Amino acid sequence: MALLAGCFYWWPKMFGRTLDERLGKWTFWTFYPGFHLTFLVQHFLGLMGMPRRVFTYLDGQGWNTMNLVSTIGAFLMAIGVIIFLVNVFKTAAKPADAPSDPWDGRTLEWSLPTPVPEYNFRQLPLVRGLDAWWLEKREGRTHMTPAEPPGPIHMPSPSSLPIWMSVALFIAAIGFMYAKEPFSAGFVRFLFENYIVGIGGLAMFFTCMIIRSLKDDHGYHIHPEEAEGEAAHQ
Amino acid sequence: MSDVHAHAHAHGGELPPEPERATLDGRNRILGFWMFMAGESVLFGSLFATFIALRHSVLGGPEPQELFSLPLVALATIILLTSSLTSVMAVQAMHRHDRKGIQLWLGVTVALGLAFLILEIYEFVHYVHEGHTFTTSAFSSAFYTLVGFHGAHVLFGIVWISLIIGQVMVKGLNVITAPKVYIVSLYWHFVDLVWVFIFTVVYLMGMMG
Repeated sequence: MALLAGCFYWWPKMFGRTLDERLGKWTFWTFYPGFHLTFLVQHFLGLMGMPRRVFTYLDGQGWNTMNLVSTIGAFLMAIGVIIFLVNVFKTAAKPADAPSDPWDGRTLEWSLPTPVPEYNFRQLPLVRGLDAWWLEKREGRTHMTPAEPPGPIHMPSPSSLPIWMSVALFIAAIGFMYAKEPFSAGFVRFLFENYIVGIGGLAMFFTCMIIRSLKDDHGYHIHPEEAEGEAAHQ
Repeated sequence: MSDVHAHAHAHGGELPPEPERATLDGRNRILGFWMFMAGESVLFGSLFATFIALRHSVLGGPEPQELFSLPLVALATIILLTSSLTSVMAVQAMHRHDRKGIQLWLGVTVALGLAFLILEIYEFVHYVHEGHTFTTSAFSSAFYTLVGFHGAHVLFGIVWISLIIGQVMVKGLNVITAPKVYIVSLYWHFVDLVWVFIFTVVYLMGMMG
């Protein structure tokens, strides 16, 4: 439920489009009761002796009605998620014209334009309390007060190494998990049985780490004039 | 955010007294490495907890008292503790901007690390001959997982320190390479500290029963 709430809240900042409110209310009124119908009764079923996480249970134990309630709740949740997915597709077809601060927000992310510039803040903002952006708005300001003079903004260079490291760990994990799997294809079986897949994945991972260590990435700088131009453009 | 002085020293001759902390980038790397060590502590903590829970479940296999030989393990401990000292010497040399000193002391650290690793491999081979294999008992599995994982960290450290020696040779000592020397030394201290716990929990407690 918190994940769904977070999606609705940050969708405009992430994608520049606000999710549909009417469909959102449908998601809430199906998912919220559905969640509680599904899980609340399971507490009592547990106290009555039903083991958890089983795919079926004995008839005639007095567990049937409450499990039916759970099933109805699960269907309600499924409907809520389907409505959410419909909402996502419907919203994706709309123009990306969400305002930068659609909820009259309290925290720093809503003080930035949408889409958020790659450097986030041109100058570090002066944070004067919890709910920093709210405090500024209460005093009639439309921007955060900077805490440092404008200067070149240091940025890391884009890198594909992290994604390759994830791929490598994925290969290693598959390799070790299925090492004893009796694959019918002889060659596949040979690769897994001798840990060639697993060790190959690890070798790829450590190679990425070595490249990361040897290659000094100094990043690059965005100069204040460029950042200024981008801000004016928005 | 703006790190104007970040690379001012990178190619100049004048190095500050603590070159590893001279740039925001260097300070961030050191902070990030402390977070990595926090994660590693949780990992080793889990392995220690597992070992302590399973250390009496020998299932008819060899028991710690008949298996462990304290003189050998004590020698390994002395070697590893000394290597921590030599890595401090390398950081001291870095603070004196003594490039040769860094290479020398990191080289000694690698040699001591290798000696430790050879002793550990010898120890493991000896245990396997005694009938103490990875699948003998819950105790043996927990033992090899914990001690072997530490050994893998030592091996990783040896490769890493060797690469840092190479980088200091090729790129020289500057505000980019200085944090690397400092961080690899932090890592080595961490691995050493884990060994102190292994020596206590696995070997000393094992000998006492």
